[in-house]
Amino acid sequence: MDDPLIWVRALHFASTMAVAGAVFFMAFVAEPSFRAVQDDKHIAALVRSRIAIITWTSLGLAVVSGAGWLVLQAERMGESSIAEAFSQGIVWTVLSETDFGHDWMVRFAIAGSLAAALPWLTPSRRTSSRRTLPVAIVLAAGLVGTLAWAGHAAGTSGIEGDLHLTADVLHLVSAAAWVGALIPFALLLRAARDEREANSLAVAQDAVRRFSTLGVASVGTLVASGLVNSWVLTGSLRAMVGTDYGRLLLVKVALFLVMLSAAAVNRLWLTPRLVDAPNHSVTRHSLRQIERNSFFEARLAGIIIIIVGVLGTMQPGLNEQSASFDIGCGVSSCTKGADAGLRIARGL
Amino acid sequence: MITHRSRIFVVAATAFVLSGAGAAFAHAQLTKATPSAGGAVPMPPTEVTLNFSEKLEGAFSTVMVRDAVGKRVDKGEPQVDKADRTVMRVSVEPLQAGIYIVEWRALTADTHKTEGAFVFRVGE
Repeated sequence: MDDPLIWVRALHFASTMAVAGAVFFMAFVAEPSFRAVQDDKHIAALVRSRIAIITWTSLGLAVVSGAGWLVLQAERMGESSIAEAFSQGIVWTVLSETDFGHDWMVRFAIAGSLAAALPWLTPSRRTSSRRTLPVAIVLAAGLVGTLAWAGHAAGTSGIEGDLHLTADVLHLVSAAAWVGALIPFALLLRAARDEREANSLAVAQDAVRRFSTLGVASVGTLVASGLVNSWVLTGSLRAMVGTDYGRLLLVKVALFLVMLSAAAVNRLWLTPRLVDAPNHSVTRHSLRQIERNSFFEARLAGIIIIIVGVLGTMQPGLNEQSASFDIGCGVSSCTKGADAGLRIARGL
Repeated sequence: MITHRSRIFVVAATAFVLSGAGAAFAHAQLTKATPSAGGAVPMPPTEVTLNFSEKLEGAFSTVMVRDAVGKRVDKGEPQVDKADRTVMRVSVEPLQAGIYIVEWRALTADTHKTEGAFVFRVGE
């Protein structure tokens, strides 16, 4: 946990998903709900301004953490210090000559473009939102989806690699649409409860239904893309129990299942109760419970993202188990140098 | 309906987690070498070719060939094949009969590093 790359990776994943999730939430949940209940302008302005703060802050963090990730990656690729990574031009070599660097340049360009398309989130620019909204959706999906090129899918070659990359992109986008939208969703519910107006509660009820639909769509995409990824990487299951890596992965599994349980309570129990609420008191109570569950899910998602940050820096068990070809000292008179041939390919 | 949705959530969780699991399991493996690891060739090769399980980054991947006393016999500047980035090769000086050690270090496109070494013999 003392490796800064763990925290930089986790911060970048979290902030990128927060940006994309906020944009998706505004586009597919909040704005349609505001339009459906046209009489309440106040809650719309309140929610827009709060989510704008989240979006801008997260975008700033994504850029800073992305730059930090690049520098740390250059340090490791060049096996140098951070100062040497700059002075010896390693950072530029990474940017200009590696897939990771090319991906990062594209992602920085997307982040800049997204910043230009974000004024639609501020209340004073609402009239321009209709034009920039589709652009912002595409850019947000691009920002989170291009993270796939910083992962294993980038190393897979051939048609299998293309399939893997496609699945990874969909996986990241759908995860952002769900996990990244949790806090904006909870903030909308809180604003509606605080307003205590019938129209505000109607906005919240409508948003809950729309968010449920967004969640189901995200889950469906997660299932399909996750199955493809699992199919491509079947060999990974063997090392799941017998290594530190695998055991940490099981912790992630457990946390994720708890998160899903909370989501299931929201969708299967609280949402129907909210829709059929006989009075405002029951409505507000249901909204409070959904809001609490959403914050709880978001906290678990944060822990899971930190675990993802750790896993990305750990030595996977499969490499120690499956490297059979590199046992190269097949002749009897090995020299000192050839002793290295007995080492199984070692992940650094 | 509840059962059906619950099933979806469980499957989604499993798929989400498993896909994340695999991502870090795949560091580059050396799948083939010419001359072959631990093998013998009757005629001295002019280059050593390594095939990997994943695409390599040429700027940060290396291969060196040494003789039995540790002297480098490769000509330097190993090249990753632009048409097939899973292949890396390096030319070698004219080799005498004897044992040679190939030490490689590979950085894959997904930024993971692996390294390894093997020997081959020239002559019977």
